[in-house]
Amino acid sequence: MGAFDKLSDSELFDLVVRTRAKGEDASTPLGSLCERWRKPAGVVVRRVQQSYRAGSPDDEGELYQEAVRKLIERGLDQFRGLSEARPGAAASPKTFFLRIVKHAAIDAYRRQRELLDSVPKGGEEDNQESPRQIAYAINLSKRAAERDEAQSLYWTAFDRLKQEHPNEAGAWDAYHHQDLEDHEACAKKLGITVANSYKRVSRAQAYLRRYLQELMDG
Amino acid sequence: MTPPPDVDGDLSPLLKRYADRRRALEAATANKVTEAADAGRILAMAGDLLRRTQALGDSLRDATLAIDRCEHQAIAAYVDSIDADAERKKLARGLDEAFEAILADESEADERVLYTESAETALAARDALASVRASLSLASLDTAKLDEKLAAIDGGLKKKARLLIGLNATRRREAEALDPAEREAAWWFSARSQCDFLLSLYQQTAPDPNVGQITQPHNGAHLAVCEDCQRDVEASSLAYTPQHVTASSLWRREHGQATRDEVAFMDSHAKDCKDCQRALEAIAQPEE
Repeated sequence: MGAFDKLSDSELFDLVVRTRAKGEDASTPLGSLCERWRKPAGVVVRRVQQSYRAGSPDDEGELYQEAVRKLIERGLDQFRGLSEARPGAAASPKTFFLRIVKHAAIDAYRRQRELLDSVPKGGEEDNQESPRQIAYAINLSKRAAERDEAQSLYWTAFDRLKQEHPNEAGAWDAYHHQDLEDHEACAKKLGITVANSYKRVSRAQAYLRRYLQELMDG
Repeated sequence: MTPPPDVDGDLSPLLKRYADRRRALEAATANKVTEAADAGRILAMAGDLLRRTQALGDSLRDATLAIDRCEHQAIAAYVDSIDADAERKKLARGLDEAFEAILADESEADERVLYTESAETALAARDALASVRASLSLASLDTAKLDEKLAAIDGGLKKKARLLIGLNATRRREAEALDPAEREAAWWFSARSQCDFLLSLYQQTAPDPNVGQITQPHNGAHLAVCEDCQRDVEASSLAYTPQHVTASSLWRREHGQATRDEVAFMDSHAKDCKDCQRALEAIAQPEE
């Protein structure tokens, strides 16, 4: 019988959080907790694999490890934050972990599909990439991940734009979010001149840049 | 100590304005000063001279005599009367107006002038308070209460100094007129005063050097050495709508953290994008 078997998931999770808060090593209780969730994590991965008609049984272990890493990196604090923000409404620690697994799997298979789509057709020799190209691709992918993480700032900035400059926000929304053809279509939708559409969108961008800079200031 | 600013334009009108203060100070202190508002005005004028000795010459004697004419009770009443909250709002509005001046186009030249003048007035008001402090310090009077108020006025605004870049030519001249030891503390004149580069982020067209305050051309070399500008460029690069539904958006959506517009964008985009539609369907699956 393991040292933590008598503890419920929530009790063991609390122990992990408390141990980490004290600056002590929480890897043993955390390892025990995650081990309880390994099988259900496999079920979640297989479900996503079915959706994407992709993947293999080997992926389960990798995605599980990836989810544990994400839980340690940010998930523990995030779960506590969610629980405090909406007491009782947040999922259990187990559901939260399985959600991380689900998102890690979706992300992995989306990337895989993207990669397959981007591979040039032709012989294997054509696909040989130099270490420099690989390093460049890894760097690009890292930057894309960082930008993805920063995406919430964009929407926060847009919210502020709506509050402070609704006309500019309306033009930006029409032109960029609703993907209208051009400024003529944007002007028609908003009932303004084409010149005004240009002006509003351009001003919206300047405000957004300012707000994003201020958000990055913290 | 900050290096001397890279000044463009003629400094003499500015120096003449400050030199005129010496005469105004003499006239204002012909009699004993007993009113709080008058004391504030005199402390500001005396401090203006004290903080610009290199440009205007030694003013210690004039400033000391002027401050001595102010009754301590009037000085204390003036410091008490400073409404830090109101001063902060004025300064914050000045920063916003300076930014609006940047965005004003050719058809809004009048508005640009109004915004610029209003912003410069706000900066001058903040600078006057720094001069009051210099006078108190010269007279060995307690500055604790004023320092507290100045900290409250400035709190969080210095990092917004990028909003002032449209006034940079004026600000560089003002910073140059200050003694070197004063420049860095006078952030309203000195912070980001070399960052004209940023204008290209906010203005769609290249700034016309004959219009308004912009006298330094776009300077890519500045970006190579200015970490503040590098950070600002990095932040600005996020000002583009995502091409697809991102992983972080999916996560925020599931936790109720996505904004209404973010959710609307995801739904609208997914109508025409199979990959994003599949991702949205996949996150809708229960975990257990």
